[in-house]
Amino acid sequence: MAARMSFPGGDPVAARRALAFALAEYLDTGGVREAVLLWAQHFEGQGSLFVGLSRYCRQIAERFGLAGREAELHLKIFRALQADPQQLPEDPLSLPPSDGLTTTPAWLDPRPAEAAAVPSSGPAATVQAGAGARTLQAFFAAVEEQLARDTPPGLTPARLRRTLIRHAPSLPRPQQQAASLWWSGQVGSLGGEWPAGGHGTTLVNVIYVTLAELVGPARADRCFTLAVQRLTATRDATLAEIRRYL
Amino acid sequence: MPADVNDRTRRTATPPRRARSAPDGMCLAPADDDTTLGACLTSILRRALRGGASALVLGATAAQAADPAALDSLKAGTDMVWLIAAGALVFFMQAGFALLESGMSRAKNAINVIMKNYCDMCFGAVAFWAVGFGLMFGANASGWIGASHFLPHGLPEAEYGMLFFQMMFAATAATIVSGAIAERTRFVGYIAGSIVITGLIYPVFGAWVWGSLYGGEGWLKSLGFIDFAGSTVVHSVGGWAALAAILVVGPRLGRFGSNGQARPVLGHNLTSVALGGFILWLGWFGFNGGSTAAATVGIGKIVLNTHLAGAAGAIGALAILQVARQPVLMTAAVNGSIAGLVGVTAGCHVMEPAFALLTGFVAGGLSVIAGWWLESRRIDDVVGAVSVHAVGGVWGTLAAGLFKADAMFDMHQFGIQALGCAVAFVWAFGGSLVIYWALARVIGLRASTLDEQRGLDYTEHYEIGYPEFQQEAVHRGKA
Repeated sequence: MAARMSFPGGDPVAARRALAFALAEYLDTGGVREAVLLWAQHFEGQGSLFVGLSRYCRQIAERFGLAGREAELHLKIFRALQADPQQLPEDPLSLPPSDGLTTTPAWLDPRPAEAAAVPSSGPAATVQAGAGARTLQAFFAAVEEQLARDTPPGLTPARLRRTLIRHAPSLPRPQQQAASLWWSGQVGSLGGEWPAGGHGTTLVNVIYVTLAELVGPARADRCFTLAVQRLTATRDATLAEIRRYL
Repeated sequence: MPADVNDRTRRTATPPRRARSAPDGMCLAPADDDTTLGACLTSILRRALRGGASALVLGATAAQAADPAALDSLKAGTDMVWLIAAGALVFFMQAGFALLESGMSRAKNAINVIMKNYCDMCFGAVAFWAVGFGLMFGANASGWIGASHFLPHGLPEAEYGMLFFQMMFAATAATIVSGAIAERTRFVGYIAGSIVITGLIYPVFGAWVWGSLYGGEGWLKSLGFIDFAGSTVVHSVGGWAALAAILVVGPRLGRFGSNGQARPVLGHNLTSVALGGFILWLGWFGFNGGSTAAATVGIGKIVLNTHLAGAAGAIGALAILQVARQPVLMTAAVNGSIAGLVGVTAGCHVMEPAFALLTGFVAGGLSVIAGWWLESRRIDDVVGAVSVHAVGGVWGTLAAGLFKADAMFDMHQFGIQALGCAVAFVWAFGGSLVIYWALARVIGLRASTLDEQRGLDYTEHYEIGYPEFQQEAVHRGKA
C-alpha cells in the first residue's frame, strides 16, 4: 500500500495538507491548525512520513479528547495521503490568520522583532531573532513591498509564502523548519542563527529562486536590486549588512 | 574552403592556366574557378612584353614573370595572402560572437559569456591542431575519418596557411554553443565541451564532406554533397550541438512559468548586439570568400552573394514579424541577417545573385519562426543559436541543391543535400547529447541557483563587466 503513495515523505507541504484533510472531521479550524503545527514541530523531517505516525495519532487523541480513536485517525490520515492532491485543502500553516502580511513591515516597526510578531494561535509565536535574522526579515519585507507595487496577476502573498515553503528544503532541517514557520505566519520572527555566507545566504537564495519561479528572472533581479537599495537607504548598519548575504 | 582543398594543394604544384584577356588589357574572369589573380597578373605582364614596353622599366620584372617557377611562386604567394587575410576575418568573427552573445545576456553574466568565447577559441585551437586537423584532413582511405597529420609539424610551408584557416572554422563551430547556453552554464564544463566539439564532433563530420588533403575522399563528398563553406559542416553542426547542450543544461531559472509561458529576459546591451552583428557580417566575407582557398576572381560573386543573403535575411525576419503583427525587433533583424549569411554559405559559389537573395530571405524568416517554435517547446536558447545556425544551415544546404546555377531544382542533388543534413543532425546532435550528458555528470555543467542569482561573472571569474555601473549590483556577494 505504501508503495503506491505519491508523496512518501518528501514534501512536507503535501503531508500537512493531507493531515488537515483527515483531521477536519474531528477538529475545528483552530484545532486543525494546532494539530498540524504539532506535526511540523515534532514529527516533520523525521525520516519517512510514516515514521512516528502512530505516536502522533496518540498525541492528537490525548490532546483533543479523541482517546480510543487512534486507529481510526491513523486510517483516515493514511487515506488522505493517498487522496488526489487537488481535493486536499491548503496547508494550514501557509495561511496566516490574517491571510498574509502585516500592514507595517516588520523591519520598519520600531518594536523589537519578537514584539512585532504576527499574532498567532500557535504555541511557538515568540522566537528570539538575532541580528542576521533581523536583516533577513527586513529584506523579505522589502521584497514583499516591492512585489506589492509590481505584482503580476495571480500572485498573492499567500502564494508567495507557499512557494517559499516549498523551496525551503534546500535549507538544513532546523533552518527549514524555522523559515517555514516564519513564512507560514505561525511565528512573527525568524528564529535561529542565519550567518552570511551560510544559512542566511541560502535563505536569500531560496527567496530568489521563488521569485524567479513566480515572476521570472528579470523581475526577480529587479526586485532584489530595489529591496537592497531600500535597506541600505535606511542607514541602519544592521540592515545594510544585507549585501553580505547576496 | 573547403570548396575543394585537394584542388588547393594541386594548384601549388601545377602551373596556372592562362587567363583570357580583353583587348583593352582588362583581365576577364574565365568560367572556371581555377583562374587566379596571379594568372591575371601574368597575363598583363606578358602583354606588356609583347607590346614592346620599355625594357628598362619592365625588363627585370618581365623576365622574372616569364619564368614559370616565378609565376607559380607569385601565384602561391597571392593565394596565401588572401587565405591568411580571410582567416583573420574569420578569427574576427569571434569578436562578433562575443559582443552579440554578451549583449543578449544580462550584465551580471557579460564577462562569463566573453570568457567562453575567448577561451573556446584558445582551447579549440590547440585541440584542432592536436587532433582535429588529422581527423578531418588526414589520409582518409575509408572516407569516414582522417588518420594522419595529428599534432602537425614539419609540413611544407604552403600547408600551414590551410591549417590556420581551418582552425578558425573549427572555433566558429564551437563558439555557436556558448550563446545558446549562456547565463547558467559552468565555465569548466563548457570549455570541456568545446574541446570535444573542435577535436572530435566537427572534424569527423568535416572529414565526410571536405576530407581529405592527404589521400582519400569523404563519403559525403564522393556522393556529390555540396557545402562550399560550411552551412552544414560548421553552422548546422554547431547549432545541433547547441541544441543538445540546451537540453542537457535546461532553461534558466524562471525562464518559463508554470503554465509554460515564456518570460522574456532582455539582454543588457543591444548596442553591442548590433556591433556584433556587423562584425560577424564582415567576417563572413572572409568565411565564404576565403573558402576558395585561392585568390580567384570568383571571389567577387561569392562575396556579393554573401552580402545579398545577409541583407535579405534581415528583411525576411522583419517581414515575418510584420505579417505576425509583432514588433520589428532589432535582435530579430540581426539574427535574420546572420541566418541569411549561414544559409548562403553552402551555395554562394554556385548560385546566381537572385537565388542567393532568396536563400537569405527564407533563412531569415525561418529563424524567427523557428525561434518561436523552440520557445513554445520550453527550449531556452539565449541568442537564438539553434534557429539561426541549425535551421539556417539546413535550409541553406538544401537551397544549394535547389538553386545550383547549372542544375536548377535537381531532385537528385536535393536528395543528397537532405541526406547530408540528416547525417549532420544524427552525428552532431547525438554525439553532443552524449558528450554533454557525460560532462554534466562528471564535471558538472549547470551552475547552482546561487550562481545564477549572483551572476556568473562573479561566481566563475570574480570579476564584473561594468565595475563603475555595477557598484550597486546586488546579485553578487561583494560588499
